[in-house]
Amino acid sequence: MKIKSLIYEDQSTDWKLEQIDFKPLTLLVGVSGVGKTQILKALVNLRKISRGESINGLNWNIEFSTSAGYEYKWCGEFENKGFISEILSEMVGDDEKDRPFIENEKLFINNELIVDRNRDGIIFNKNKTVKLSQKESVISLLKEEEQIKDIYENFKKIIFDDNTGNNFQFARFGLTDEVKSKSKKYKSLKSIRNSDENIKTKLCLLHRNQKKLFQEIVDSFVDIFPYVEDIRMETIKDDRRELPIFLSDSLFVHVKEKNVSHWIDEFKMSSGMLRTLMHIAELYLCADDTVILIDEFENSLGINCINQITGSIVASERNLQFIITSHHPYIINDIGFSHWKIVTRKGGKVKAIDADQFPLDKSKHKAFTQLANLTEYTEGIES
Amino acid sequence: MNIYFLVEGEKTEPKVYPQWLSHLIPQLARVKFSCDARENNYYLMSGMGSPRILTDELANSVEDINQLGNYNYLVLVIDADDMTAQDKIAEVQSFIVDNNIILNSSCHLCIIAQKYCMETWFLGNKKVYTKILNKKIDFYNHSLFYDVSLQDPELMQKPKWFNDDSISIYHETYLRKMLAEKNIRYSKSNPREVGEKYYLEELNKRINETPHLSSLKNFFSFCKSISIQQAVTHDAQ
Repeated sequence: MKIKSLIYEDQSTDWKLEQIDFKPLTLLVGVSGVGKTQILKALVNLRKISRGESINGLNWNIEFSTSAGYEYKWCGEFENKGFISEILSEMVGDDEKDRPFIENEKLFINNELIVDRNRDGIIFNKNKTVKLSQKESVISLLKEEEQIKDIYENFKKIIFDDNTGNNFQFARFGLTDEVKSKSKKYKSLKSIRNSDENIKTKLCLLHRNQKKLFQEIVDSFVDIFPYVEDIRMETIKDDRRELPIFLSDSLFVHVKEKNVSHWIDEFKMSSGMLRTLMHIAELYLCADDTVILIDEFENSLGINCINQITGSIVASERNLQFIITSHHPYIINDIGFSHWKIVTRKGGKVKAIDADQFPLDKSKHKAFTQLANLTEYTEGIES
Repeated sequence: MNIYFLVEGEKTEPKVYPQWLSHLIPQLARVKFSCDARENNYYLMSGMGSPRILTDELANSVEDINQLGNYNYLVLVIDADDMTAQDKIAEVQSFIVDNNIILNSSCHLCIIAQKYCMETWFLGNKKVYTKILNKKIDFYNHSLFYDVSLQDPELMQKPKWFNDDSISIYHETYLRKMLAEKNIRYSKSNPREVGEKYYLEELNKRINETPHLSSLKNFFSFCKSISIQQAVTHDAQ
């Protein structure tokens, strides 16, 4: 999918994002605390809502298109049960009866109103539906409908890398029947890319079923780390370490460095190295039309990796969309300023300004130097 | 007349110089981009620290100025740190020659060396100095080490017990503690009071009454000469 624009408000915290337009590659820049990560999280929240979650006090309006050729506009509003209620639900968990209602929701396909909902019910294609949950979005409720299925499937393609490493958890992938069936199910590159498996499992599947293509990932990795000669996915074989049983048949990344006799498993690799591999794998193995959200792209990537990975993103194909945040001059300089959005905030009101409205191309100074001299950047937060 | 300021610091200078210039050369209005200058404007940008101001930004600024053709002065503001202001200026001039950086003849280069750094200049306001007699007060040791109200701040070194090698960092620390005694909060990214008119006037007074802060005097003299040129031009019109 391609996210075109977003208007978003969290009424429970009085946080409001004015309309932001996205390009195939959008780099959000701005001082810490201005709201860059919140913008990514807003998109993640919409993904959650598309899966049936309800989020207190949200009000959204998103425009997007899919490769099927449809233009969509989806907007809606949850009731606001207040900030305290939200904290309580986070502390004690969601009770179905406490989940907020959807006050209203509309879905347009190619500018035609397809779904119109309020507290009284849902009108779908001009017909009132049977009574359905008032706390789940129409994308989730009507996902079996042909018109809605495309949207539901496309929201699955929003991937968020928040730098916690949670996306890169170990692949529960050993020599079990389940694994054999996965291996049989996902043989081609396309099927691996389109699977719902996590990135490490996809890497294992590629290693097992598409050796030649796995080598392409190894080659990209070796370009960044020339002292590495090979990568493989295998179980940990180390007599000196006792692994819990549930991990002993799981596959892990192993790298072989030049002039080092043994293979190094992922627990002993540097976090930057592992992370770089996962970034490469993600770029290579995500489904076509994926929207990749990366927060603080530079975190835990060494300087030697930044240029290469940024280059891969800028030159990316397969209709991927990237929305990235960064503070790092290398990254910011590598991504042309026509892709930058300078995020500013006044109180709880957040606005993103297109950097190409400024004459940055008229100076010999590097774009990052000019950005660092812009008051919109340096004084991005007003109380 | 248009002036292009290229200053070393990323935080303090881009905040304080525009405040000072609004008092010292009020005829000049700031523009956001160098290409926006028309008549009686100034543009100010940070060179993002040292050595980058010289190694990367100076040549780019000179190229921009040459291309634009409507700047009368390039003012390069740089920290002298441990060098004398004269030696620092000579070093910059050598760098310009060695790197074949050529400024159009219609634009004059003025190098202002801040000795040691801009915070050193801020120490010159006698009114914000407090003599401390109580050992329990944070500023006591600093005031015991050096009295900036009587002695030239540009000559202040650092005490042996200060855990950083840089005298500039000591000057900043001294300034923060000294201002805190007057309930004035100072930080590089939020310098607050030091940009105010009353503060600037105290520094001007110090320069006129004593031989202290000679590097700051160069900056004030530059501003004064610009102000006079502006007045003459105005009268002629």
